[in-house]
Amino acid sequence: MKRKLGAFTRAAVDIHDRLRLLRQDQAVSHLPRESWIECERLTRLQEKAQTHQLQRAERRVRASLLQAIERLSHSLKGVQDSLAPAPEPSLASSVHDIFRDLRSLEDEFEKVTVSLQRSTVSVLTDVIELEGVTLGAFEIVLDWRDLGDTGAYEVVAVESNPAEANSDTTHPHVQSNSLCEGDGRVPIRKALSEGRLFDFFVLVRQILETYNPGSAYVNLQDWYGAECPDCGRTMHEDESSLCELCSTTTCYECTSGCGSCDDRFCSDCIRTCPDCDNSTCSSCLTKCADCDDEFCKGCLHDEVCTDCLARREEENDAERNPETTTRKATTASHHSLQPLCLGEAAVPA
Amino acid sequence: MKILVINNDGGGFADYVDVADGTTVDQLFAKHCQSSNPSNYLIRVNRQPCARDQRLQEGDRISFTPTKIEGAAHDPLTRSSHVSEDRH
Repeated sequence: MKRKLGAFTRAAVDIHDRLRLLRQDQAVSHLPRESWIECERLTRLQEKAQTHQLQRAERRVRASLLQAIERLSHSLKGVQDSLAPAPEPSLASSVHDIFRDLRSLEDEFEKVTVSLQRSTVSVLTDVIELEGVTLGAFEIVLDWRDLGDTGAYEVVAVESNPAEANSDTTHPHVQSNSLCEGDGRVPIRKALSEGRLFDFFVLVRQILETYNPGSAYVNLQDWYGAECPDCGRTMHEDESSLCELCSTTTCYECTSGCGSCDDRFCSDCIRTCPDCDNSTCSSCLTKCADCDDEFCKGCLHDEVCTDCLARREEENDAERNPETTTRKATTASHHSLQPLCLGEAAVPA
Repeated sequence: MKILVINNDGGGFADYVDVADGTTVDQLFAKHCQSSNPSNYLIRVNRQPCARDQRLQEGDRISFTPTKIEGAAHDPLTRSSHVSEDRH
């Protein structure tokens, strides 16, 4: 016990020193470039789906675009907040406050560990179960050397029960050991900047004990594998396939490869070439210059489909040899009026 | 008397405030969390669970933390978002 209290004291002194240094530092903001690129990509997909009149695909892409724009707005708001003049922490914890925080964590959590060597304080939560899905206990590990950094802590699943669709997702709001704090972001930042470790750990635990289906890496209803939107079968991580056009995830069996570009597409975005019957994506279909029907590139000859090409040749023949064509047409007309049957002979008119 | 009030809801608030002698936990909660239901908060006095009618003392530290705090899938300022920004 004495040893532990000694570790708590030394940790409290170190954390206090670190916080004092950090108060002079300036936060650096990162613009959400990748979120913007994602919006641009989805806009291009939406235009493509509109051009090819793929209504279901267009609806799906539009929904994804709306979500992406929402994420971009959220990210920009975060950057805007971080650029605003940082208010002086209304509270600066003393070494004694930090020490008492560390001691009180032992009443709140099953296990509290201080590692002076690694400069970490970690606590162990109870087993977390959300909507009938047991996610197990989590270890919240705070590295006080990184205090002031946005990645100062990790949330590590102890007996991990990750989502079937993504083994890095151990909780609807935890991916790769990082918690997306959502509504907890500001109070967590404030608690850390003021050295209120007790509040920090409690805030993180309360987020872990809350499920927000509106913004989860993987929804709990899909935790053991998402349902294929086409056939309704449960998909596992290695059985799913992403449509190259509308980005919908379906099971592998419900996607088809385009015979021209080799990419895979969902049933809404794949078409069939009316000439060769091969699966072809809408991007690889081209309109016949004569009839306006769409064909794969292999079935077009100088931008014209096989039927239209044959028709063109017939028309050209007719122009070149009008008599032969008329005679042929007359004979054909007689034959069609009185076709010869088995055992009959043609009688001259 | 002066006590430290910490409200971990929304934007977060932590400061020393003057309260009348004999103020109870319930009364202070009503003042700082307005129409919220106390059962939706973890209320700690000096980092320990407390009774709602507990009278506060000079120098006490009282904190209100929502029991439910909604996380998200994307957050611009956490490490995860930076990882995903870099990766995609």
